[in-house]
Amino acid sequence: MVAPPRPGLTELRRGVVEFCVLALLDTADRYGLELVRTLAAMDGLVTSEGTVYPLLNRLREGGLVATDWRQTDGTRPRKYYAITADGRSALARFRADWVRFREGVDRVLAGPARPGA
Amino acid sequence: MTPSPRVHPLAERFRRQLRTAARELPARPRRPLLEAIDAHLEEAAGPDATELEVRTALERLGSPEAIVAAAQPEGTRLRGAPVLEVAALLLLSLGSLVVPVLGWLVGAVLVLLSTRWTRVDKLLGILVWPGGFGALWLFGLAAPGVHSAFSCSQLAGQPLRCGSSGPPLALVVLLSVVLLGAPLLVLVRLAGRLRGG
Repeated sequence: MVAPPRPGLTELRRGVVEFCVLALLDTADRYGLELVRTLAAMDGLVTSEGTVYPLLNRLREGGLVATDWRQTDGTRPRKYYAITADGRSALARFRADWVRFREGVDRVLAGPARPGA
Repeated sequence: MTPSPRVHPLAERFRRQLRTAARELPARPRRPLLEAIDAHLEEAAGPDATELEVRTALERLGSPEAIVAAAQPEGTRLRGAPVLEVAALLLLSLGSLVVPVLGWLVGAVLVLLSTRWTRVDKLLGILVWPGGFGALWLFGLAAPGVHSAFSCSQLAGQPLRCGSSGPPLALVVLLSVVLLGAPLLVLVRLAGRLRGG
């Protein structure tokens, strides 16, 4: 089930989900429904499956993702999404930024409690 | 144009709702979005799917409005005051009264630049409204000339005969109503779009 939107979570998602898409595509090319369902299965990542498609389109227009139609094993033709070289570079930068960001947030959140609290 | 996908009737209704909601999107994000959702529905809500499966698939997909909102181009999702659009409406309607023709032309260009109106809205704004209320004003200037053509004559031994060589009064009134009414209707439509954000 897709998580209902929460204001704080919505802000956190912004700017992060696209790199989760790139990370998924870094492991394998995927068609739309497969990709969307995989993302939606991860708790809190997307508000609804349909909102992933505009994101995929933006990634394609930005040259980070490429698409092509494939037909395998007599199934219907499906549009597959694949990460590009630019997409891999962007993902590598994000991975480094994310580690720094996450560690910084963790340090703040794990700070000592206020005396007497 | 791609053929319609084979989907469950409930999914077909969703497709229509999505197309209605997506009319406000520019063509570039709209077309691939509709294609992608069609492919999604074909897989997740095909004609052989049960009603429960289809309802679940549609619920997971989200509302057409939410999908369209996510597809809005960057920079237009959090929209500020529609300054450009208000200026466009003022110039379209009254621009020709201030600076004949040029005022309306600037308004028409602003209409084309707006990202808040659909192509149909833009066409209506420009084609139904050529000259705006300035056209009515010009028509009003021409109207007295029409009536001045009214004259009477009387030949010896015959009754007085009067007539007008111009268009009938009913036509003049009808044209005035159209020239006033059409811009007003378009004004209401375009302004109404701005209220929707």
